[in-house]
Amino acid sequence: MNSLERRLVVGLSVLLLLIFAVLLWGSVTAVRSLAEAHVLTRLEHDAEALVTAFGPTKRGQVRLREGRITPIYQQPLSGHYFIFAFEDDARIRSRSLWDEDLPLERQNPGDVVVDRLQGPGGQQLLARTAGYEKAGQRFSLLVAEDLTPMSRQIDRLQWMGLALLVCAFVVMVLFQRFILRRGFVTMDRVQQEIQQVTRGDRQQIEELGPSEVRPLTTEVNRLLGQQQRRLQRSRQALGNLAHALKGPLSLMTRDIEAMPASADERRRLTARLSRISALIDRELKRARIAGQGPGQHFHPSHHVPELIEALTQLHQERGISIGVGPLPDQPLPFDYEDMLELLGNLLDNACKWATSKIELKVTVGHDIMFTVSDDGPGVDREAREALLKRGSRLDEQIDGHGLGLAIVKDLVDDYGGSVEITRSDHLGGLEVRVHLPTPQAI
Amino acid sequence: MRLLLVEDDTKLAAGIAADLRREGYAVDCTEDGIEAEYLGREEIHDAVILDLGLPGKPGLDVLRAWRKAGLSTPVLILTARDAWSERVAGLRAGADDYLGKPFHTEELSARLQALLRRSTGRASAELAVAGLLLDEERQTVRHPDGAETQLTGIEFRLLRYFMTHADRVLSKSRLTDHIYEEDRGRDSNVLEVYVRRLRDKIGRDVIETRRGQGYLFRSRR
Repeated sequence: MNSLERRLVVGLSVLLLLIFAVLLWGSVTAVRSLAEAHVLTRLEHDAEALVTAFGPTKRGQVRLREGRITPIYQQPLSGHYFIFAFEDDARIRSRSLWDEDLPLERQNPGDVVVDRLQGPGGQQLLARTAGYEKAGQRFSLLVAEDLTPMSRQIDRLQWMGLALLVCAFVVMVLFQRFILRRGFVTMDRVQQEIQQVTRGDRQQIEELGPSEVRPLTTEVNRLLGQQQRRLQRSRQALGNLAHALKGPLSLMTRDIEAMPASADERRRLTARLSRISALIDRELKRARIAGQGPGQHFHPSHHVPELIEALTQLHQERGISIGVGPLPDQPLPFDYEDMLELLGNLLDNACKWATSKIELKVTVGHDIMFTVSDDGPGVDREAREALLKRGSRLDEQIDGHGLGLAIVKDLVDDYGGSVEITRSDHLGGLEVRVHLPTPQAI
Repeated sequence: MRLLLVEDDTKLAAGIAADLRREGYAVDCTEDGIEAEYLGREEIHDAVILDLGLPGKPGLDVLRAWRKAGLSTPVLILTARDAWSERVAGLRAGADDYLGKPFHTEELSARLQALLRRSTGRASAELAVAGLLLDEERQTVRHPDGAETQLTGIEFRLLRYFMTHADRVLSKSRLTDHIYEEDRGRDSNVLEVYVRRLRDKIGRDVIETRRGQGYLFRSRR
């Protein structure tokens, strides 16, 4: 049960059902006891009337004067019954009882017992039995009334209440769902914006929505900003380090060149120094790799032409034309500096080796592929593999293929991609293909 | 040819300057960004070698300020910051070339020569005007008959400037600006002496004197 919405709906339903059950049970019980109390009062009044009707006539005879009895007791099986029970087992039964009898427990005068009895025809009776003494006679009087019609009414009331509550329940659950859905629309937007940040469409997310969501968006933004600043800071520091290290290295290179030593010795020292500076270069460049995450995203249709322009200017002495295939217009979720380093090294290598032509293709599919091909001499099959190995250099004179491709390999490894080196079919030289998986479908 | 070298490592700057002077350039050095911007705006340099990490004002800002002010002097960025994003930024700010540290002196001078050649609109690597061929490596001049003459430092600078700016009237002050460094003697009489010596070596009629205006190097005799 991971959905917040489902959890809330289930929670609300359980609570509502519990409350409604208690409410229904309570109200039905209250109505029932109220009705019974009412019936009981009526039985009391009827008993009093019956006792009053029992007495000596004008002729001095002690008996029940029928004329003074409510007619309901005269109708057969009307649901209203009484029984007088005397000491000598004599009984006067209401005419409504017809030939049925009801069990009666004698009571001493002044005692009252209320009881439920099974009446004729399955009637549920509420019976009040009290003991009396009048006109020298002790007797018990049972007055009973059928509760079935009232029960039926209460049952109907109960069903109506239930129907009402079910309606209320459905309405409340639907309403809650509506409110939740409206609340979650904000979450959907926050999610979309975070996706946009990942894709590189934006740097920060908008801080909107209800007050419960806003701390989250603020925090996400703070985190994004922090990561960007951290990357920038570390790159700045690496730049400074490079600056601090390479100044003295340049000085040493110059000093060696000017040294009064044999050409052989100078070459040896220069080679050692080049090795050191290549190592420093490689490590510094590796440390600069941002990988996937925040930072300025790579926008091919924007950044590639700038890079091509720079390369054309740097290699203008060689007069090489760099052809670029159609560039995707959307930003790619890769760091801009990393991608520039990747393509810069690939194209720079190609510029050093090409005779006159280079081609760059950027293909966006389920992964992203950069293809750089040139019309240079190309590389043998065995040498191609060596090219990608750590720091290996094929040609010390044209420094590049080795170190440049090693950095490309580092970058690609960091992004979980792969590098392929083959012969270019249409240009005849080297072709390098770099595949980078996208972090998620674009 | 007079260069401006902007480099905050004074030892390295002294070394580079010495190398460049040996190759026949006049070199002004500064290690401060603000001073560099000021010196560059004087427009007396033929090229600038610019480091990026400078005290005072960052190199890229200096470069942008120059380009915004319409200064077209070619600029070579010489820096330890050689990530491709930084190279792109440097070239977009208006640099003409970009060289990462550490570097070999030959590479720097080759790129510098190419830069100067392009800025004077020359296509070939050889500097040949009026039948004369200037060998920039050995600082000699070859005559139409094949004879070679050795040139002194100042003579070489002067001849190179004449040859790269042929058929243009060059004032004495412009010539001294581009041949001497900031604090060296800049007496126009001394220039006249050098022009006379140069005429002795390459022929009297190649350099024409324009009274009150300066000199003119003729590409055709």
